Amino acid sequence: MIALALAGCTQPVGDVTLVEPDQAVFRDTIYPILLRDCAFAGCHGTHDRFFAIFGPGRVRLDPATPIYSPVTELELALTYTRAASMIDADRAESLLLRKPISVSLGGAGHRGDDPWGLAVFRARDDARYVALKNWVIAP
Amino acid sequence: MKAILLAVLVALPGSAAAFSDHELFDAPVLEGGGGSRYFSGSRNDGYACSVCHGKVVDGGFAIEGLPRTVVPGQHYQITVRWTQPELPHGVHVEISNADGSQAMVTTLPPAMLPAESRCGNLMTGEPALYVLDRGVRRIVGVEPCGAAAISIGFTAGAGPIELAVAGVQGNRDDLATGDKIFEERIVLGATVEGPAGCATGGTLGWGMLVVALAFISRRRAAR
Repeated sequence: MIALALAGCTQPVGDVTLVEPDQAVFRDTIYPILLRDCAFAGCHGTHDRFFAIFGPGRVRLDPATPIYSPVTELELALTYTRAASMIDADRAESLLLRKPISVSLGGAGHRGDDPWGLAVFRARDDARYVALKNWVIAP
Repeated sequence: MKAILLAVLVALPGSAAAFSDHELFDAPVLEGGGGSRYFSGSRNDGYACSVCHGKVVDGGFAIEGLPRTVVPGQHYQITVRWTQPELPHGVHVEISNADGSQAMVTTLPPAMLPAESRCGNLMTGEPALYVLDRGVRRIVGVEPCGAAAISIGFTAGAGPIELAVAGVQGNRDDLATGDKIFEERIVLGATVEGPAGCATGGTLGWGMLVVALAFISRRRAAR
């Protein structure tokens, strides 16, 4: 319900059009990827970051939520909204796709590169990156 | 409405997570697991404990027996030790070749483990050490049950060896904050046999040693 309410607010603002990527694909495929690879407390699993991801085994949006309880609707809705807001009109050039890959692969630069200097996704054909890209660029 | 709702959501303080049971590293992410992330800090994982537990603060961890360089085919033994076994410690160690494959890593059989590698630091304790074989990787870990050290062997291949150690000394508050963290990523350069049979540093070896020193300097500067 809340997810739908949040998604329903994606309407044209000036000359900027917010996109509404598929919510079911997000829930089933994209959210688990973001939870696995980005939702660390020192990275995007924190209220300190705009692109914030909350969920089981990580920081919970509501601290009263038991740590291993299933993802809540609010957590899913917030993560969806934040992820969707990082999709540009030129979807293939979205920050959501350019941040997690290395500059040499066309990435935008990312503090999340590991101490070996490697990006979250090390190749454009990484299965997780392909899934993310398909979700972002889907019509 | 949306702005108000998001403002309320973001204002809520977060709770923290824990991976106190090593089976959680393999568990599905939607169940709170790592989804096969082991946070050893190796090239395979990239990230280590600090991505959740905060910046590195030395909790009395030490690596003993670390060679400066390695000779292909030779076996080495290192020991990772911590000074306050009465506090819960979780440790992951990965020793790899440059391609990420394990460097013929060995540990003692459970029955032969010394007291320091057992729960409670006692000969009567359960083995605290566990080994996770995942594809080409071998991760050696320690359950947070009062052990004080683990010893690990490896055999050098033709190229450099990458040693990654990641440890957390918990403060018993069940939060990711406030713990002490230990992380080391060390590249051991391979040496080549000289004509008289003595080991001399090859170009690759010196190069990797420079890389290793750069890593160590960078880490110390970040503390």
